[in-house]
Amino acid sequence: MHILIIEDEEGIAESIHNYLSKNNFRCDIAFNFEQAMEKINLYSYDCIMVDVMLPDGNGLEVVRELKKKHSRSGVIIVSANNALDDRIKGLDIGADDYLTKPFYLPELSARINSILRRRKFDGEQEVIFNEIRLLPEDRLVFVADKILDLTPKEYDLLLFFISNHARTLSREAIAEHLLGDQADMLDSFDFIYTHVKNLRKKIITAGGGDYVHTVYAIGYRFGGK
Amino acid sequence: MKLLKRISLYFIMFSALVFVLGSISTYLVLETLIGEEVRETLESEKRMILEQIKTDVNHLNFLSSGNLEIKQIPDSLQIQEGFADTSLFVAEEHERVPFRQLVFTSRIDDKNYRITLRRSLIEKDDLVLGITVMMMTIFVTMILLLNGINYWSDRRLWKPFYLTLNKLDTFKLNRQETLNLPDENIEEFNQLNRTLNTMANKLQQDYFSLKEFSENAAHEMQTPLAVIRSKLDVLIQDQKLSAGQMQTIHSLYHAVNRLARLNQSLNLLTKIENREYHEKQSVDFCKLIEQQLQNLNELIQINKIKVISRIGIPFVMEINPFMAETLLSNLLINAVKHNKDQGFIELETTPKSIIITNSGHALKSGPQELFARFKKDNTSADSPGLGLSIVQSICSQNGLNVNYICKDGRHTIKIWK
Repeated sequence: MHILIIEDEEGIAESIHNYLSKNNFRCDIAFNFEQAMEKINLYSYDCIMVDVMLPDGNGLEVVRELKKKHSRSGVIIVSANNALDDRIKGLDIGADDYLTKPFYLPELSARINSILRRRKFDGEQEVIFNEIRLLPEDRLVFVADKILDLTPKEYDLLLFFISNHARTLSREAIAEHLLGDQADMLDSFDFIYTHVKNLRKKIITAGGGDYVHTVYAIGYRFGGK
Repeated sequence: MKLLKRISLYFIMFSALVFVLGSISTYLVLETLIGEEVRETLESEKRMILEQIKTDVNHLNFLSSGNLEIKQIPDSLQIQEGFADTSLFVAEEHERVPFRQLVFTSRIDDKNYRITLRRSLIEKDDLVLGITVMMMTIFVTMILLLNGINYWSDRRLWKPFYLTLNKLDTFKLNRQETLNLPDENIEEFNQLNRTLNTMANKLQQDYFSLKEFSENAAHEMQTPLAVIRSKLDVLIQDQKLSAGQMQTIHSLYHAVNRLARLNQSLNLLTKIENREYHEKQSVDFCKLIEQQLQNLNELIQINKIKVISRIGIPFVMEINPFMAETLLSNLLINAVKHNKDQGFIELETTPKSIIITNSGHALKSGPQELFARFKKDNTSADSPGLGLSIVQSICSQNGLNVNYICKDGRHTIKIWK
């Protein structure tokens, strides 16, 4: 999968590059508007993450250019501005998703995965992780071809885990993914602990592997060592 | 009340007073003048009569008519001479009429005569009536004239002023268009318009530069936060970290989280106060409450909170949908967050009000103080303490009242139109 990151802040671009590259993604970085236009004209990307505010131009212009070229790339707009206007404008001109800074890298990874899934032409939108199979369209999960009964939150958690498999996920990132703005409302440790525990038990009971690892003080890792 | 109306009212009140005083003094002056005049006439008649008596005594009896009475009197009788006021019955008018009389004696042919001269005075009633009618006529004419002038000046002279008022009323700082009040013929209005134009331009410039500043500040703050967070996300992938390092990273995550939320809330508050959410539509708060409860369902269940809902009567108003959502989500989140384990939330709506009550611990400070920015009851809590400030800001911008009462572990927030 070929991904373009258009982001003027080197620190962020580097982290994204670092995080995504391990997920079988090949990442290019454009630090400004000019580089971005050059790259989208030279190569074809599966997904493009674009920061709205660039030093020499507006990220939304890049999206417009892509749409003019009838590009098939998925687009995620990233902005430091949580303004409703920007969000609506971005989605109106054809972006697939919108993220507000500061975001968690696992969240970005999950969003990119979701876009890539939706963009597959053959209609086969399964997510497969060993013996676990997810059908995102119907929100169904199978373990070894048997249906696994999950609560909506457990389903979201599993998909989030698989989108970031073999990555350490902080409890904060998980809480924000599951609860959004309400994440700071409660002792998210207990909340996440309960859901992770239940999910793990259900998968094991259904005959799946024990994929959930606890990372001391920080959070969890799904799969990997 | 319109300014012109009020001025007229004061004018009428004062002129009525002046007219009353004027009428009284006119009456007094007229009465004195007439009395004086009669007195002088009587004096001159007296002189004429005395003159006549000297030359032609025989005419005396002839002279005696209604207003002149000549009577022979015995020598011994003492007569009080001089002026006196009296009233006599006048047959033609069928009433008593005031007279002034002059009594004097004269000796003619060795006989004493008492001569009485009389002149009628104007009746007091007549005088009062006359003055009243006159004054009332002038007064009414004046008021009619004044109204006419007011109507005309309201239509013509004050027109530019009303135009200016109208424009100011519809003027919005956060729009790009300038105020642009036109030049007027009348010096004062012209000056007013020029001053307002300058002021509005200055305000607009300040507003936009402040807005730009806060937007930039937010952007500048979000970016470093994003750098820190993304670096942390990468850092924890390192599996060789020690337990101590992990603890440190956890604290960092937590701190960045707080900062990010603080920034987000401040940003929202600034936007509300800059009136950026001005597009309104009709919103049913009951539906919104149900939606929000749905979103919070999981948290409500985890905390074993009982929700007692009495929302049947719709509370509908014109408001920006995002504002309405933010308002309710802040209130409901507070009701869940500051609740006790196995506590309750009571919801009630009427067409005019929304009441949210939740169980909770007693407050250390006064409930109204919690509307202030960064004010929170539990200083160690993670939240920045901006939730109720946001609530208040939204309420005041949409003409809603908000009140917070805490009694016997029951926290009640009431919002009403």
